[in-house]
Amino acid sequence: MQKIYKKKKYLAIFTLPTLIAYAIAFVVPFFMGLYLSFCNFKTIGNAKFIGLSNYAYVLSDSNGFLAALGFTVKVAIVGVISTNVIAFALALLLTKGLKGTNVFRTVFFMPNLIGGIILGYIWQLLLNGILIQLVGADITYSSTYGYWGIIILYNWQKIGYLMIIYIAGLQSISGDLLEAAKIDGATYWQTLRKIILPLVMTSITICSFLALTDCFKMYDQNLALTAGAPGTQTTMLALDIVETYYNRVGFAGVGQAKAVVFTVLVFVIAMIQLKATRSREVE
Amino acid sequence: MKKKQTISNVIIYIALTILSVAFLIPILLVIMNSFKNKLFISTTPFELPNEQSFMGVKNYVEGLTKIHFFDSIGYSLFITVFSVLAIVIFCSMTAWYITRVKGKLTTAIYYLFIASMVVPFQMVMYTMTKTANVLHLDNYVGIVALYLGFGAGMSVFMYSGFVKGIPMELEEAALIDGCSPFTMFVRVIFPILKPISITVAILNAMWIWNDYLLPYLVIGTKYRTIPVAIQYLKSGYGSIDYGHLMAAIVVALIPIVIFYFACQKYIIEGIVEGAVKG
Amino acid sequence: MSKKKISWVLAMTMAATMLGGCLTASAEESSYDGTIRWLNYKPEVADAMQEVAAAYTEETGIDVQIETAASGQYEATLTARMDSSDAPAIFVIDSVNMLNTWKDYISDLSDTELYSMVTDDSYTMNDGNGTIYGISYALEAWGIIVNKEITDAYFASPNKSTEYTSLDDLYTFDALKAVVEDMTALKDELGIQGVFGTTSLKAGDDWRYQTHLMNQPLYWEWGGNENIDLNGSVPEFTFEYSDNYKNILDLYLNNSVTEPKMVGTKTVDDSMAEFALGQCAMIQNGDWAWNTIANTDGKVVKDENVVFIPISCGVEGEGDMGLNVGGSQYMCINSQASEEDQAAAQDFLVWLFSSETGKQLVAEKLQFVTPFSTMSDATYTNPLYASEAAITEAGKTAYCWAANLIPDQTWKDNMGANLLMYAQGQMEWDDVVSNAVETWEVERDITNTANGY
Repeated sequence: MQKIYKKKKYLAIFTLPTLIAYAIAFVVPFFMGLYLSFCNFKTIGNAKFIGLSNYAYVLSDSNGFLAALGFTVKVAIVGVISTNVIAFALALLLTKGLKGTNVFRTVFFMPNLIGGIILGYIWQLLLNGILIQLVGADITYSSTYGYWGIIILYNWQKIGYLMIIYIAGLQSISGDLLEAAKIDGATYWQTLRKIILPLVMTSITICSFLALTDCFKMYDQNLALTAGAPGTQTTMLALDIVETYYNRVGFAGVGQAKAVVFTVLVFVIAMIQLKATRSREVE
Repeated sequence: MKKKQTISNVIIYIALTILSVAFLIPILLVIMNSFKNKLFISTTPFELPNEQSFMGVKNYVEGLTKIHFFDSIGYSLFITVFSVLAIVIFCSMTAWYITRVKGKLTTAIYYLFIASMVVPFQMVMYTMTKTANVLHLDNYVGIVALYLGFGAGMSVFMYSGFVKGIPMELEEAALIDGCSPFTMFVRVIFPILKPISITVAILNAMWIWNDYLLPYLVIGTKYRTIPVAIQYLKSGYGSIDYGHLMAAIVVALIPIVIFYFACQKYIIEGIVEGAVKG
Repeated sequence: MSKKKISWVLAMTMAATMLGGCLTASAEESSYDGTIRWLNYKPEVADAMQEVAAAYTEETGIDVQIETAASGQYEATLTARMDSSDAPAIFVIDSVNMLNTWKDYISDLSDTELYSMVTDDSYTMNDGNGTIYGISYALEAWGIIVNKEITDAYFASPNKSTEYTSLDDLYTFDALKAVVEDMTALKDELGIQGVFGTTSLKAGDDWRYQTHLMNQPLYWEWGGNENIDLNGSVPEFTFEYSDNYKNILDLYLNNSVTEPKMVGTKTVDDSMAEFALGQCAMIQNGDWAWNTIANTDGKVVKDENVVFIPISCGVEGEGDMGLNVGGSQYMCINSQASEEDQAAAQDFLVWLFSSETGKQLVAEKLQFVTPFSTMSDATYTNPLYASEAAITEAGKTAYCWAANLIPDQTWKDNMGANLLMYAQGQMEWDDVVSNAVETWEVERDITNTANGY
């Protein structure tokens, strides 16, 4: 069978369309981008090789890239924890076998289908309305407002999604096990800690990393909700890169170098995730 | 014991109901404000429309025609539908082939696809836009090829996982009956792939429909998809008209809600599937 | 489905996907079958531009595509477009910086019919030796727009405590400040919520202050019309007149419809609406704002009452000064476009500024005041143009557009964000000043280096 498949004709029919599209959309741009991060350029045609100076600029750019990195990490820490805790709690409530929980599941999940740009404007309306009532200023007034605004928006968007994964995890736990615990006289908290949590550890790992990479790559929500205001204090990494690239004449090379550093960061997170998931599976 | 159970259940229901309302309020607020004059939106969003601020459907009529919003819906639909079709057709073929035919080349291809899953879009945004320009892919038809390329990583990965579980015997029987591998794939394999195809289609549809930066950069000034059109309302006219923005958001939500209620089951299964495999 | 049929379908799908760009429709009968592309700079005329394109296509059958870049994104969009197959034949530069950046793409217009229609070389971007890079297509003026009905009511009021009796007295800052503050005291009597409309400092809506109002301190610091070289490099800037800038900004903020803390929530449109609805008496903006005022729902301000006074900030000699006037945007023809495309683009522009249909569109829809002799008989509906003419006739000197020499958008955005924080009471004025000067040094260096100075 392998012999028939291995004919060049079939290799071409089956893989070429995807490969060509993949090369155009990803492989070629990736290596071009890598090269351009060492260049000063306005258009690709006039790129001039300048070695590492773009990177030197990026790593010393305390108002731009490093500030954005710091802010992103802050968003990620609180964002990952809050979404996961709330989503897990909801999943517990919704798997208790109560009637009508599907309605709630439907409601909680819906925001996840709405795109980041639209979400950003929806929340801008609500948060500005509240802030103007309470303190007489809007979300651009302080980076604290912007920070919590992004966290709230992110929770609203992601909780339903993570909840679905947790529900699936919880449903895979056999009822017999829980029944046995009950008969043995275990309290609810004991069951949760000793039985449920260890059994959904894979789900927790998956969800944490999903939320983490998502936070790191966040762009649309950031752009629509605060666009970095006040000043650039609530600019996250992705937004900082796009701004550098397109809104500062002469800084495209620096923007590309930022993108490379960004890629490395996301790659490292993904590797840690892979390792964590693998080790859980072995257990 | 029974009674205690009931009380705690009531509390849970109340808590869940409150939370559900909290989840829906932002959307209801947008709907309400879409009927108000722009001057009464940004600073007093909680006031109900009154004589002075009520605009009827004027925001809808004006705002949507101003940015040609129905064209945007058309572009978004076209791009999403055809990109998803292309991804499902071509990625299933590729994934099946590289999983079945083990060799250095196909293994290399597999890892190449995996690699793209972790690379953030900003890494390639500029160079990809340029490549698309040179190849004349910067229109709503050409962008389908870009989405095929961009969606290939995750989709090939998910299909490959599924293909591994399909027994070889099925294929052998078909081949002995005189089918070519291609006809065999169409007749035997592709139907078996249906569940994973639905998952792949839904995950990609959600992403492509809501994608902002790629369509903005590649085709943004000529063909505005829904997210691009909404962002354009903010910056495209020197000053934002909140009335128009609210109306556009409401209309943009309608297809999402329809899609959600039509395929909720598949969406939720797809999410679980995607999270565990991806 | 037979195998053949499937491969055919596949092939077609692939072809359609990969070659999508080649399937775009081409124009009908005409010797020129390409598309004239114009990358429009002015978002406020985006819709009117589409009418212009449609009118030309109807008359000649030639396809015209006008793209409008988002506010503050022109150069970014231009960079993207120039590198593509849809490069515009007509584009706009707004400063010498941009001229230097785009010189390779700009053709000399000195031998063209379009240039022969220009009344004066000062309306062009040129090198002084006869090379014409760009032609201004919209002469614009800005200052403080006044609702005369309200100020007249003030001047006639028995309760006023200043000796001023007409708008002609308000050409110096002391007079303006006295009147504005007295008007604020009498705002209930005058039926207004504040003298000035909101100082909209929302990011993206802050250009009236980080660019336009900056013209005052820049003009005075650099020594006025005679000493400012709008075609030169970015000069040094010490913010010598920062106190004067603060004078006028504080006057706006403290006598406004809106609390200073809230100015970040309001857009330019909001504040123009306040003016149109009669909630305020004055607003800083330019003649381009007329459309927004005229199209506001429930507008109460009467057309004949809308007039300009100059911006004053307490500098000696400002009493003889008029409005800020200039052509900040110059049309260029893309020299890298094919000969036919360039010729077609020129024909289109000549049509626009000299044919009956074109002229009518320019005067009524685009509302551009142009430097073309062919347009001299055009009639405009914008009352601010009459006011501009009156101020010029009274012998006042116009401020040149010194703000064109601001290094770049980064400086402007940074300044705008700082002004907002100052208005909200979160930043000291001294810090705004020192930060403006520091950032200027950085951005000036970047811009001048990039331009080869």
